[in-house]
Amino acid sequence: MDFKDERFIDYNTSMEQKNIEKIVLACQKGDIAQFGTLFDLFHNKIYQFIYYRTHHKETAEDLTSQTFTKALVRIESYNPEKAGFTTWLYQIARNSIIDYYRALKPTSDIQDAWDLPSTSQPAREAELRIQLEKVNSYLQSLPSQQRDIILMRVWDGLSHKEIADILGISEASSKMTFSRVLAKLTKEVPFAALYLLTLKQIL
Amino acid sequence: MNNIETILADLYALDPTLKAKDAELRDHIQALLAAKPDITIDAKFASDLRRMLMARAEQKQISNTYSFMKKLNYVFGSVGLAALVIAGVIVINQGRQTTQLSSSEQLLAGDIQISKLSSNAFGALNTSNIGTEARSQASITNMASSPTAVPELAPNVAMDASLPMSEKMIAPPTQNITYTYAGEELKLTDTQLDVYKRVKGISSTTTGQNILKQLNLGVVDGSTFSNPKLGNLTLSEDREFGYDINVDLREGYVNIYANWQKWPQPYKDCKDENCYRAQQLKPSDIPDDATIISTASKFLKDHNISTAKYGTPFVMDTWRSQYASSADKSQLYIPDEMQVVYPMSLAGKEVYDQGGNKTGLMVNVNVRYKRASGVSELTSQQYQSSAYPAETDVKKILDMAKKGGYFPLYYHSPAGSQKTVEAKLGTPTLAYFKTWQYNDGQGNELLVPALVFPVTSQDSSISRSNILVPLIKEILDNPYGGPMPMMMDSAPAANIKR
Repeated sequence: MDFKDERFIDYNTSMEQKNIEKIVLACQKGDIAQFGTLFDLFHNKIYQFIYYRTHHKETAEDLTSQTFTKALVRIESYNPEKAGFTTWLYQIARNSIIDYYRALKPTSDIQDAWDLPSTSQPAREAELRIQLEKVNSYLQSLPSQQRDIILMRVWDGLSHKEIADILGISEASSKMTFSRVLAKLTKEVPFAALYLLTLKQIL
Repeated sequence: MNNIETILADLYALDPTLKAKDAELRDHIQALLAAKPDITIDAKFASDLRRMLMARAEQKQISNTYSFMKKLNYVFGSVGLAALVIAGVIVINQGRQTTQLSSSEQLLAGDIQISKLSSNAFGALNTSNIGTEARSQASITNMASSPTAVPELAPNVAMDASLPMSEKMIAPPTQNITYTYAGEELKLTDTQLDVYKRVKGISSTTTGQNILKQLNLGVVDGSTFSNPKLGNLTLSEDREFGYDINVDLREGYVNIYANWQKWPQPYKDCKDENCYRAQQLKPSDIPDDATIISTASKFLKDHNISTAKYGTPFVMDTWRSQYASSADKSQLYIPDEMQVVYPMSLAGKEVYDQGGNKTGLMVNVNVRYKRASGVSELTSQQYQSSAYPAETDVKKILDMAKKGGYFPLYYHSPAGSQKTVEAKLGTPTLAYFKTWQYNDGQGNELLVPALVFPVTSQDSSISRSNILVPLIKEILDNPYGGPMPMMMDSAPAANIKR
């Protein structure tokens, strides 16, 4: 199995990031049609980011739509000196997810679908439910920020700098948390669980 | 370096002792990656979302430009700017220089495209606030099409008391019409239904800039204007039976008219009534519907106007029924132009106008000269949809249907007649009707779900074939105004409220 993932690009140092910033600047200067290029670059990544945290196609589509609409409306307020555009866009997506779950469960501290008990996830799609059963215990037991760091790094392919900016923590803290969680997992998760997780790939 | 290697490199840089657990860490990261849902965004959703965003980006750009112009107290308004652009095209076409629109730059979407938005995304629909214009049009259409049917006001028609007196149309008293529902039992289960808004055209900054850069009108330097957009364009064919082509990019439509300077004028030398009568067409001059449709379709084909998304065309031939029922046939005017309708469908349902007629692409055929003389309702076909609360109370729907629907028409009966005309309503079908939303001084074309009840009546004065009842609560709960009853001689003047 080849786990090569095109999303593992360090946007902060790549030429692509510089081009992205140029496109954003053009949008801010009034060439708003360039927003289409930004959409083309990011729509699938943002959709996946949201889907990994909502486990529901229609909800992910709604929140993706909200994310890009907010980005379009607020593009003038983006400040490249504070963070990269990637970070800014993911922050909007993450806030949209949090807002969605706050509206759904206003009295609970729920940040995403992982915080919901599996019995209250009727919306989780059937195929996904089977797949995620294998990682539920693996990830659900983690505090939400630790889980976010793991998912952002492994599934979303974000750099620790980007994760840190999105979560409002230091880069060192993101790295440290990631390292500790993985070290802990190697100690606590039995090999049998790993076998189940990898079985899907072997088959 | 692949994902696992990148992640591990990060880990080992932070804590080199973890290298001792390399195999376990690899297994865990691989396990996590294996569990990652294999999901990709739906291509159609992405495409629809992109279109919606770009339409919104365009609006944002227009809004930004407008604000900028307001700040500068610009001398020239948008109309003036459009006139300059048109003039620019003329100048450029005269051979000074050429400008080209990229072949990939499609300004008006020809194929139906629908972007789904969240619920209530269009805000207040405000369709009952359409002022006198559309109301008058509905009434005027009825009055003009039937010399024997002068509008009347049915006593059971509620007046829109919220309208100022100046906005109410004065009309003669009308006769009673009793609509009886004779269709099947109705069930309405949808609590939300989609309303569609047509996305207007996309003004082209590129083209506007190209034209103005090369514009030298003599009285003003076109290149001094910043970020202009091509908004409106009129071109005229300089040949016998030529056409004017008007392209409104802001509203997103193309209208084609006969260039009357290049068409014969049969009445131009007439100085008396006899001359006019002699020139008028006779019923025997009118070809059959198939011939009229064939002429219209040939014109569309010749100009690559696709009819694929429209239904079977038909001829609006109300003159025939009027002629048949007219007592003095010599007084009836037989028009030179017949209108062919290519009925439109959206999301599998037909689209109606407010009078209950199927609507869509319209082609006028001049039967005197046996050629098409115009095309209207040739619009961009890009829509946004948004769900709005729908009415499920069948009684409420039927009550409105029995009052003549949301847009009642008013019929005149012979002088002094007090008889009540009876009409029956058949089982309705779900369709859309075209209406307009007015917000912030801007009009939007909406397609609203409605039940269309077929009308049958033994009385030939009831010419309408359908009545409409909207299914969207907000519209249904805001009654559409009707004409104001004419004050009779016996009415005391003091009772007139102003």
